[in-house]
Amino acid sequence: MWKVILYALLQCILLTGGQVLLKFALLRMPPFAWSRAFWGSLLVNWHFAACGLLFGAASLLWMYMMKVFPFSTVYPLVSLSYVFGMLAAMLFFHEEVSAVKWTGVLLIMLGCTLTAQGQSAQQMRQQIQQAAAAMKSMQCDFVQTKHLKMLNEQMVSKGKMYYQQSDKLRWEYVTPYTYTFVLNNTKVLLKNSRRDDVIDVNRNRFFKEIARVMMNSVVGNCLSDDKDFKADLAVAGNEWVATLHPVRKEMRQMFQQVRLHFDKVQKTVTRVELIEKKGDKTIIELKNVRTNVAIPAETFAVR
Amino acid sequence: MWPFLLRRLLSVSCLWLFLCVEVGAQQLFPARQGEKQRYAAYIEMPKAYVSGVCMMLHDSTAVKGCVFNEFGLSAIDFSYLPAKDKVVLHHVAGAMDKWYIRRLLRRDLRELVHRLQQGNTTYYNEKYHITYQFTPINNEKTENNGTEE
Repeated sequence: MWKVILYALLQCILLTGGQVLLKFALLRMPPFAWSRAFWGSLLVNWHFAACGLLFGAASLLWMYMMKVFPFSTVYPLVSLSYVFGMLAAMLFFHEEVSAVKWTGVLLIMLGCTLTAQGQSAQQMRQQIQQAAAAMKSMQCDFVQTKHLKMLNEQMVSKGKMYYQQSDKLRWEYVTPYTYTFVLNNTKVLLKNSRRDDVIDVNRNRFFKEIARVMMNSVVGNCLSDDKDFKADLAVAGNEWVATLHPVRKEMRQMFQQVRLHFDKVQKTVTRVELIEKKGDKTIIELKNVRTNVAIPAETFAVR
Repeated sequence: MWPFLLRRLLSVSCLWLFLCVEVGAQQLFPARQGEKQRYAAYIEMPKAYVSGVCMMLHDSTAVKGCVFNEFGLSAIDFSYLPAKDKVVLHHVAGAMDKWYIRRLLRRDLRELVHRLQQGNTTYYNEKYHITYQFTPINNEKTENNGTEE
């Protein structure tokens, strides 16, 4: 978010600078005449040249912003140039700016900030939800790294994940230990090297919660899940980061916050960070993600 | 002649047995400073069980251990102080954070550490019928996974 504001500020400064130089250039221009002297004076007027350079730079930056950031975020931010325009009028042309004008400028700034924040978060949420709804199935490899603060050590485990809309999930660790969690509708299969257990989530509230949170995290549905988490969304380079703050006491005991990283293009989760109160952290990276592929029904068999 | 040979054989066998136990214990428990060990942890109670991973590290003051489930959620953080033969609990996950469970865990983890030091992976609490089984995870495999990324 701050990146786009920074770019917008720079773009507005360049734009206003161009306007100021244009004004200076026009003030210094001799009266119009169809003469060589008039056109020659324009060519040597450095204000004109500098104004062109600034306009050019502002346009290039504007094009970059339009390419990278959502249109509805970037466009309202251009109105920040009104603020710089007012300041330039006072500073360079010694014009008087009344309190009413400043109030108007402040309202523009407030409006810009609200529009940019509100719309971008709303838009990201919408796009993620659309992608989650369109995702019929997904399969990937994952690498889970548990960071242990007390030992200053980490434990890496790897596995495979399969998801099928809307209530099937297989989360399988293959190394260095084997453990399988399969959720199929209301049934959960827990399988380790010693035993297999089938649990009916409707009879076990804890498992019901765990299963729901896991499923929602994998596809990004937890952004709309106000019951469990309060979510903040932000742009960070080539990804969107959703920071989820647990609402319920049971969840707060487990996590301080959960961070979901989304691929900006695919709108799918690429990384999950589970941050615990005591400082431990579990990072799950999803790799080789394939969406809408056929997954055999046997993968989600619970028996 | 025969008594002499028998005595020799017996002493060699004893020495071999002692070495085997010692080597087994070394592999099971991080006995020396700087050593670490990872276990597949399995705790079975009469009506439930908990499985996960335990990592132990012998540092300058104590053998520190962390138990967490397969998904990475922390369950127990503890230290075993060899000088005092005592277990100190640093963290116990929400649902288990009760004084009577803490007391039970302190005692059972100390007993489990004793078993691991002797080369035994299992401790059974006869009073409460709880089985603790900490099986070492193949270190080589884990290390490879850790450095692969």
